[in-house]
Amino acid sequence: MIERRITFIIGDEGIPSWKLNQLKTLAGYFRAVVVMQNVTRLCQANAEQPVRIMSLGCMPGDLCQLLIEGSDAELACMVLTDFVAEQFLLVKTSGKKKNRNACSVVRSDKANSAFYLPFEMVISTQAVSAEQINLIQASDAKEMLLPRLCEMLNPDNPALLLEMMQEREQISSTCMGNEIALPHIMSVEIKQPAMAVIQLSQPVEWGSNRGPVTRLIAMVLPAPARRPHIEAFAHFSQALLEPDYCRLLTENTEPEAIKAVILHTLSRPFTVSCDTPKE
Amino acid sequence: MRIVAVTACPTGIAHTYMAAAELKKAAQPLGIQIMVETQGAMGIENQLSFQDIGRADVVLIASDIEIEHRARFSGSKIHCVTIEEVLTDPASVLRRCQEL
Repeated sequence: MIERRITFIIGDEGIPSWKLNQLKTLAGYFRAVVVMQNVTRLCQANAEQPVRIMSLGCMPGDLCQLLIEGSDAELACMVLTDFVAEQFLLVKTSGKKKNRNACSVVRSDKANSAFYLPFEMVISTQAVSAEQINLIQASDAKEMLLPRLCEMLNPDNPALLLEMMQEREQISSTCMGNEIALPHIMSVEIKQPAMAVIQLSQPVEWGSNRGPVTRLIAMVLPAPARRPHIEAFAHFSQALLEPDYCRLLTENTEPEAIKAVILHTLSRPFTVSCDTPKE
Repeated sequence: MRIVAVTACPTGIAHTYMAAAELKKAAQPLGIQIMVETQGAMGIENQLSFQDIGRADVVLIASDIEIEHRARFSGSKIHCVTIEEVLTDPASVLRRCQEL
């Protein structure tokens, strides 16, 4: 079964019913099942049932995805991408498609508040292939992957971060359940918030009885704590309590899409006052 | 039943708030009144007063580290759990408190 996802942001006018009807008609042309997922509100409905989609309560600025699954998903994705790019704000998730209207996942993109953060943050992603995982599984996954995360977080001085990360893991595992691990530290040595995401195509053990993990999401924060940082990260970690939210992170395979979901969640506490950042 | 709880974790940016949210969510269907103090990176929030502690049947401490101001709870019935226990099955943690 082929699966495709289209990530987009709902524009200022929301989703008027004529757009819903157009979406229904387009989805009806294909054998693939098209599901509309609202990432912001964690709910979904079949694209061929406009009333159900209406009941999702999509608002301007919501991050959404079309999930397309079926033998002709590739074709359906091409057609629906054009539709989405015209009617909504398409989020660039793969380098392949050159769509002029698409916006990229950047925190400072003033045009939309979907990814807005009132502070500087670097976020990097990496995927680990199946062969590498076989090597990793032979030894301790943590020992292999923590250094990699630290390298991504701070290429200049990964050793320092690694030491702190290991210390933290010794107290208790940072596995969050639902296949996600969230190694995180805070220190005076850290100058700027940063995140690093590693996608694993196969689950590895993370020293916890809450099950193996397929996504490693590491974050580092400068100390002493600043309120916007804590608000953003506490909101994100609380979202991880929701199994549906974790599924969004584990089922998305495009690094940019994962980044979009994470940044969108981090930015939620600041949406109301996005014009006057509180610092 | 009334429970007062304190959550804390080494970094204080994730687990502390997650555990607090889970406890509050799980308490409602069990008919438990719960107040949760978080000792996170922002310092102590929703601090428990002596009155709160005095009225509570059980003090629940969910933490992987030593908590601040523990002396407040001397004389109370204290139940200590790890953050992981709370995040895995908050309802059973609360049920254990009920059985104390």
